[in-house]
Amino acid sequence: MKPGKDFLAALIETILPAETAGLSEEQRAQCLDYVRDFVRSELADLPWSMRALFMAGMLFFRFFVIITRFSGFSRLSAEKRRTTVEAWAWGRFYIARQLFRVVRSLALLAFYEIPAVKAGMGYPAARPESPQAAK
Amino acid sequence: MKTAGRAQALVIGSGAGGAVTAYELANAGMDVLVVEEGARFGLDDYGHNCPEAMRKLYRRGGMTPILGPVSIGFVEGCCVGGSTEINSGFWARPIPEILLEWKSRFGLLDAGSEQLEPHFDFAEKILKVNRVQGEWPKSTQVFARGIEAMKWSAKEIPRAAHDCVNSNTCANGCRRGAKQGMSNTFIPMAEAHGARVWPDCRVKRLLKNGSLVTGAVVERKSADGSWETAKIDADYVFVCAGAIQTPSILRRSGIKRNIGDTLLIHPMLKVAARFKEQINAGESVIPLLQVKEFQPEIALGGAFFSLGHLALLLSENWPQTGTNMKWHRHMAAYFVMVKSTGRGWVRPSLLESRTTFIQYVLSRDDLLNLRKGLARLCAVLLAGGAVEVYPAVHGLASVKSESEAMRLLDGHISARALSLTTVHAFGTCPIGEHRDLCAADSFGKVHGLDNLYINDASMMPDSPGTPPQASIIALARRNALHFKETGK
Repeated sequence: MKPGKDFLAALIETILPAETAGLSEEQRAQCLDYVRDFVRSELADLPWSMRALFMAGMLFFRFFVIITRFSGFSRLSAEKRRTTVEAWAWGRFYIARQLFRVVRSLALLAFYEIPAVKAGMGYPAARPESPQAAK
Repeated sequence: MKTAGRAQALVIGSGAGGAVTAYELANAGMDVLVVEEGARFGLDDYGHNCPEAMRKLYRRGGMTPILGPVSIGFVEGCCVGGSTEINSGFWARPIPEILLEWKSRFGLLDAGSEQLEPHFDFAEKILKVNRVQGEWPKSTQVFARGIEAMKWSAKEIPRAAHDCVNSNTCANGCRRGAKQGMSNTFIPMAEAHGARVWPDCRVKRLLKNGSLVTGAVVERKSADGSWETAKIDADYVFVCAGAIQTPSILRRSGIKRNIGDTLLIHPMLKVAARFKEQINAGESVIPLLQVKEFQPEIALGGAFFSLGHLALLLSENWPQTGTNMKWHRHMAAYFVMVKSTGRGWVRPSLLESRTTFIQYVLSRDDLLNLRKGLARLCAVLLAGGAVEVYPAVHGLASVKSESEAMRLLDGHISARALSLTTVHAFGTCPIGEHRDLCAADSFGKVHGLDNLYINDASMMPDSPGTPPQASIIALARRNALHFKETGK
């Protein structure tokens, strides 16, 4: 039981910053794939009952978007997606924030740990090698 | 059922409690088998980025939240060495008054500062506990500046680390082997004395016959990656699976009296602080000072920093604060941690054998202390030269002045606005002579059973008021030696 790849990719793309220094379009697409796969595997590790609640919440979100925006979330313009996600993920309703907290936290954590993103932001590369690896 | 093995002493778990227990029993000549649910890794597997470390070293990829009116992020290690592989290696003896309180409230015998001192001394030698050599990292220096300006008392917390070169990968496993986790200290020491270690071996439940525990039913990963169910026979069983998994195993085995009903944690609220000067927290070890002024109720200190963790910290108010990621070289992370007074419990899931539900309800005092601590943390960081402080509190994007910080003392912050985390859990199987409160006697022998022992964070009857690693190791060694000397 995992959220659809396309929906999750659209959601993650909306949460992450639109531009990151030093990343080409191709690199950015690779980063998004990496983040999406990480978030999916993490969600799969949630206990079954919490995963079910998360899925139900996301289904409700998608349904809400359809009846208020007359379009599926993935088909909305980038700007409309952003305002919709901001209203839920950083809005006044605790339940909505909780629903998005897990995705937004995992997505941001994973994105900013990607070596290409770190390098683009001038963050120091990992160091040093282990004594074994150096041999 | 197939018998996978037999041991004189079966030790379940290889973290701070299990590793020390295994070493002391093996050193006494016992045939010891350590079973660990997680895998065994070498140094080359450590030090990768956070997502990889979470997938590899953390229980359920780090997805083990504590539920309640306010959910709390909680992670623990699941690999040989347990959480000692992913902690910061901070080492602090418990506050003496707290040990006295344990004695009076729980009837805990022979666990005063004097009785524990030789065990701390022993462990500190093995784990090469020391303070940083040379200059403090910048993130500690600015914190020290603020503490001095506030005229508060503080202390550098020693670490179980040797030749640390500030690679800043504590939470992802120390690739240099500088941090003295159990996988490179007590576990190999136990193996040198003949102990066997079985990674990828999960205990489903204990086997009982009257007042005797005869072994455990386990799932063991076979060469083709499948999991096989088998049993292990044992004369003595030491459950050292940590504050969450130990009560879960015991309750699944039908042992429930005073088990899993009294979870205690150190709720923690983090902030990021931006300074005028470059801090380069990503290139140095975690800030090493802790403010003692308000302990044991409130501790202020430094938190792990990486670009991903900074994003996580800012994520509560990301639309307002996300653009500050560009200041990462000027930022460092700090925390306020409180001694919990709320109530929690741990229960195994009835539907999923690998799932344990954890619940904790923050008390009014917890919230008050978190708010007080946040105000003081912001104030001390601003006094230390921070331009802006970003708390992980929804609706509180930043604090820019000491007067703003002090207003937090009087103002209202909803518990639901707080993004809380914890890495310290204990108290789920308290030890002591008061049978109405405790799961086991003063030395970890479970009440009502002849050969079952608890020897990990779950046995601590209350918060030690400090990072618990040192207390776990000292108590575990004390218990193991008591078992060796008395045979019970």
